[in-house]
Amino acid sequence: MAEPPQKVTIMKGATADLSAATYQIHDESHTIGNALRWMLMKNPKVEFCGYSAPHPSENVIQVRIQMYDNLSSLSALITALADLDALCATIEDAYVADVRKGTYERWVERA
Amino acid sequence: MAETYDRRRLVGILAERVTDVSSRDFPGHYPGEDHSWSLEKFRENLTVKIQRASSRSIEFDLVGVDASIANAFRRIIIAEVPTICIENVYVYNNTTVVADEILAQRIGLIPLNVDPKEMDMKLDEDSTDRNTIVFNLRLQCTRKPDAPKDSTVASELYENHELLSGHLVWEPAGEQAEVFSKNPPAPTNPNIVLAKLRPGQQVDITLHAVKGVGKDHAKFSPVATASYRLLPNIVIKKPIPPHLAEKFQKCFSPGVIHIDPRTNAVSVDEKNKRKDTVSREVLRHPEFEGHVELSRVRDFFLFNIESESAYPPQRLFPEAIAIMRGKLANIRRAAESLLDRPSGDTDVVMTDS
Repeated sequence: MAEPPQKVTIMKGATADLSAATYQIHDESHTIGNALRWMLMKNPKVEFCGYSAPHPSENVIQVRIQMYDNLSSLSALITALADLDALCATIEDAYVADVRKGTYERWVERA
Repeated sequence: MAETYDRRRLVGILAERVTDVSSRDFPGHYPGEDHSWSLEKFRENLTVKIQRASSRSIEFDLVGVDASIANAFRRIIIAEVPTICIENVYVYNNTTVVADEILAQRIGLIPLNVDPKEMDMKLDEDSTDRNTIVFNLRLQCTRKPDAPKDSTVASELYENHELLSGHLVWEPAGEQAEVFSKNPPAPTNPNIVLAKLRPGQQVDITLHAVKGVGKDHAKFSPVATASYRLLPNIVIKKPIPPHLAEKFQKCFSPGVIHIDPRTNAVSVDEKNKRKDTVSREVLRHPEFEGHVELSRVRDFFLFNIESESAYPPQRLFPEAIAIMRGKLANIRRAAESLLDRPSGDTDVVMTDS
């Protein structure tokens, strides 16, 4: 069997210091792409961030990141992933807390 | 008092177009303002409020998040939260008028009550008691000997004239009998008609159910719908003349507009304004021009999730968050492994050739 493709690869054309690079993420879609793009754009050190799903027959997305001050786009990507995880945890806690509070309307729905 | 929203949070709704659709809360957009990511600020502004729930559906508000986040959760619930469905159909005999492949397709769509937590994903060809549940489907239609002579009703004339989802018989294997002892695997609804039979016709089928996700096949999707809308916002700018109050009220969904029975004064029912469909009917009438402003709140998501699987509806959203976090961790691990890639001469692949 063929070797499984790498989850994240840096595409051709990245600068040597990775201050501008395009990352190809395998087996992901707009679900992660748009959320990740949003979180990267929240970073003031990110000059530009955009993503695309190049073709429906290719199971990948490509995330382009360009940084100010020659900073590393790879560390920005890792930070954004960590921040998104913290965001998810916050939403989960808030949801679980409200379900547990149980102050919502209950109604009977027939199957 | 009516709740007012910051203009920046509103998506304007005009007669023939919408305005301010995209969010602009990014660093650098508003000069002198800090819009960089802050978990504390996010936590402060976040509201999650369950509105109503039944055994099959849940409605809740998710306030203070970007559309990209709300949409990620919606997409994951539909396409990536796993469920158990019948994947392989082995037909030994089928003399009904329904062709094998049609019957197999119908059987695949039956929702099963198996908690996906109890099973593993089937990753290769090897079936085990941890990743496959076996059902048998055997039925033969016969004449009822004591049927009334002049009857034309199938249920009076024949035994087993309908093949139903309830006819599935679970075949426990390995440790399954113990694992599923509290809740034996079966269809969530036993009354789904799979085929109609006549005397002499029969089926003998073995079925294998496995764990899968909606992006592979829609039958694995745990929901009938998982959707959100934005909270409608209606602002009355000038008092509505009392003689037009009823006409104004009829431009909106029932319950959205309140008319004071004594003074005929018109106001928006804050609790019920979420019921509005934002049909924009009110913008068609010249007499209301300039009286009312329609909009939606960009970060106020009204979620509606209808479970059609073994998951109780309350569980689907946390399940989606867990999957999202799993994906993020996965990508993060891969990205971190790029950090210690050898630099210098091996950089050839990175630069333009």
